[in-house]
Amino acid sequence: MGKKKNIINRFMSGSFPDEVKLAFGSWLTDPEDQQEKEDALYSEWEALSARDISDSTLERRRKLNLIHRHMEGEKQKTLRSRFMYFVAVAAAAALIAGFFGLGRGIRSHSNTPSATSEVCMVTSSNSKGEFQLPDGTSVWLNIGSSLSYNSNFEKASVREVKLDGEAYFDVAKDGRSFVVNAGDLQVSVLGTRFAVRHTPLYERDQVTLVSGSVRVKGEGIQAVTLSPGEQLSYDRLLGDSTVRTVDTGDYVSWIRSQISLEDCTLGKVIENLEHRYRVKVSTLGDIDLDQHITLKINDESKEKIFTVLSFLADCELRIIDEGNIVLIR
Amino acid sequence: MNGTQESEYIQRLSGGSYEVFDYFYLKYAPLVETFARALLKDKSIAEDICQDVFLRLWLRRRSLRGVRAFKPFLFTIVKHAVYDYYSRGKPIPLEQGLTSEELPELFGGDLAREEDLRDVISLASLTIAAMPEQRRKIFLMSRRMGLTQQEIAAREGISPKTVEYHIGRALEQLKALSALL
Repeated sequence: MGKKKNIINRFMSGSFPDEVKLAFGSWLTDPEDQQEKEDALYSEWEALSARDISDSTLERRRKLNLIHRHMEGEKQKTLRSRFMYFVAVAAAAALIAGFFGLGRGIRSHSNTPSATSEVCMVTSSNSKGEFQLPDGTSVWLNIGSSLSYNSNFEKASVREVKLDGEAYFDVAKDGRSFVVNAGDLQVSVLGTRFAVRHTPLYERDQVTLVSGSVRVKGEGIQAVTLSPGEQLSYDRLLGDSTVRTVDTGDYVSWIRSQISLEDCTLGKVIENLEHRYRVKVSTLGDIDLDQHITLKINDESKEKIFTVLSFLADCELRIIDEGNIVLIR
Repeated sequence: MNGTQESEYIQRLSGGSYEVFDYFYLKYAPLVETFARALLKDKSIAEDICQDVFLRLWLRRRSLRGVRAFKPFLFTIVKHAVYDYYSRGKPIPLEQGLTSEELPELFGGDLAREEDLRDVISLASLTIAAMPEQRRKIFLMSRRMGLTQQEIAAREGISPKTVEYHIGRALEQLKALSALL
């Protein structure tokens, strides 16, 4: 057996500390002698036999069903994008490029009262926007998000909007219920303040209730009523949802142009920054998420803030791509 | 299933057959999960990778048209998914890698074997590089510069106990690595 084959075989059959795992991964993906390593991996793969693996049929079926939903989602997406294109031509869509403080969001809807059309509000990848809906509801739209509603919103018996991305709502009470459609989830309220996140960047969608009461339901999800301070998080792939109590401030602080996190745990700071900069932060190695940090944020860039954070938390910073940040210690 | 039957199944999958997709999923998903888990040592990541692999397979089903055997094709997708995962968290290489003279000392002297030292040096350097900053620094001061624990403690302004702890942990990690070599 060659040296490389040996190393791969032993790694796959043992358990190792994180440092060794990282070293192995880095060694494995190193282009040097790649063919030899791939051949060794392939022989491990060939040696696997379905007979040796115990697998619960029920669990496997459940996972297959989840994939089916994604496969169907793909079909719907192509249909919808054609539809959206049509709508974009028919209705006036507003592209908002203003930052907080500089410009307020622009609301725009078709002037032809007879035909119903879609009103769409979009923020670019580096701006946020604050909007007022026709009923007086305020919406803060985080970067790279879109919110749309039908132009008959004012007359309809239910106020319905569709969200892709992350938004904070301060819903005006007017007797009708207000419904946010976000992927699989449907959040309905009367008048209250809450945040919803539904973006491909995270596997989990979130509904965070600041005050009042909201009801969340969806296909295959048991309807849940949230109390203030509660957050529902929904795993899109697995289709299961959990409710926990959170410090809601961490999930809505992105709506303000400045925040000051004083003597907060690193875990809390990361939560705030994830929402503010729409990135996914992972940690590797022994990073203490309970250590206390004080951080003030104005309008600094993502790179700058995370560099400062890595310095404060005494760890190294890796920006993998637009959306992913890793802190390593 | 013989080769002809499988290649017929592959053609049907490339044409968008849900039925064949399910067949392949139920047959191979446990393999993919087991393989990814052995390589990544994490059950839930392995499960995610498996779902991702099959979804990618479905999205790229048209490129299956010329494929004869399923399992080798699936391997290339799995391999890429595992590589992708690993290249996200690479340790930063040491400014200066280890040398072959340093190895016996690091591993307590029982590692002077085999001509293929390059892999050993590379893995040991990467393991040290993956250590927390402070541990790496202390360990290299002790091994490379030959400083005593007292001297390191004084230099770094930390207690000798901390120095001892980090050196101990570093040696443990290298010992775990030596099980691979």
